[in-house]
Amino acid sequence: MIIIAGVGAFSSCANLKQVNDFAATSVKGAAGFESLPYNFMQVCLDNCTEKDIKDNHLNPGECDCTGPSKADSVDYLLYKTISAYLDGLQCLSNNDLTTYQFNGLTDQLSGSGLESLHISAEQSGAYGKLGNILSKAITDGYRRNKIKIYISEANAPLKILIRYLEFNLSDNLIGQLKIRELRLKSDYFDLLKDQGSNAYDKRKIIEDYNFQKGELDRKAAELLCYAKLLRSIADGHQKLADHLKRLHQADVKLMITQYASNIKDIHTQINLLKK
Amino acid sequence: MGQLTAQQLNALSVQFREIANTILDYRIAHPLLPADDADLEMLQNSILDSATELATQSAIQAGSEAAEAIQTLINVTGEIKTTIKGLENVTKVINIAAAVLKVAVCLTKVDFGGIKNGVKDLVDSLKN
Repeated sequence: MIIIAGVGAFSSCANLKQVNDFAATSVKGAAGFESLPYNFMQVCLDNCTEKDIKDNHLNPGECDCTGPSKADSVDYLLYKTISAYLDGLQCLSNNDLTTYQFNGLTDQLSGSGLESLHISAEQSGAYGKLGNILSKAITDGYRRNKIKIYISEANAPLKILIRYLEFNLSDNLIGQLKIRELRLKSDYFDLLKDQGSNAYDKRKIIEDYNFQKGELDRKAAELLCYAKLLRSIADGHQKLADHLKRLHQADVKLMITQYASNIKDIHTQINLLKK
Repeated sequence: MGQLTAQQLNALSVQFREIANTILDYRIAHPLLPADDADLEMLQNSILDSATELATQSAIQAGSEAAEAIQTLINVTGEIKTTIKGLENVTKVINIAAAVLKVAVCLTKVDFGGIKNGVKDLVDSLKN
């Protein structure tokens, strides 16, 4: 019975490890949201600053960013909901959660006052180990079942939230960057056609334009990379949901590990873009 | 704008942006009278303002469309936290069980000192 319980506990640990690795990597990758280089509020502030410069206003004029602030709140809510779920999945699949310390029981069994039970220190230690194996067999089975239920229940809403967050970043926010690029191009065109500019001024204007454009392109690349990372999380979670009954099999383990690895790679790419 | 979906609002934003881009390309490619160029620039910037507003509204609308999914995922996360809490409490249960066992043994031995200490340990376990 102990052997069966032990094998069961070991097997379930292995299953949960894949889930835990995937969830832990996803939590870390998703946290990149907090250091994204651009948001709707920044778009609004940049546009206001640009307007002040064009209108030759030394002091900043009125800048109403209520809409952009709401748009950022939506993105933050989407991110926090996704992140909280992944964090919960990581905690629940963490084997340390049910590695109970039976020292208390062991000490009590071998302590003074229990001599009548004739339990030696060696025996009480063995009872402690047995308790660990049995508790893991019971609680890991319980956790495994619960995790399967939660992954199934969460899969559809998680995909929807990731799709909307990805949409807001790669379509709406990058769209804003493209609009910003057009405004920039228009401004530099105005500067270039100014009759007072000599050849050197024009060269400097073009250099400055290319630098500013490069900065916008870098921000867009980072946002796109993050959107790609979100898609990998959604795809990996879908695979978990699709193969809940086969998580212990080698091909599924490899597949889940590959998704975790993809997420890590994209996370590294994002960090490189920041440099 | 409340009638349009997030996707439609974004598609409109993209179209507005492309129209503004066409105007800018025209301004760059054709030498225009300053007054005409200024008029076109004003039109181009107004269209870009609309494109900005449409993209912002699209992002806000995305939140409304995702509201049900947000609530469902929050509920699942709440269930996960409850399960985690339940599993963490097993440790507490084990400590209490051990303390009860100690009291029980002392009772069978009629060991009043042991009973007193055992009850104290039991109370401590229940408090933690």
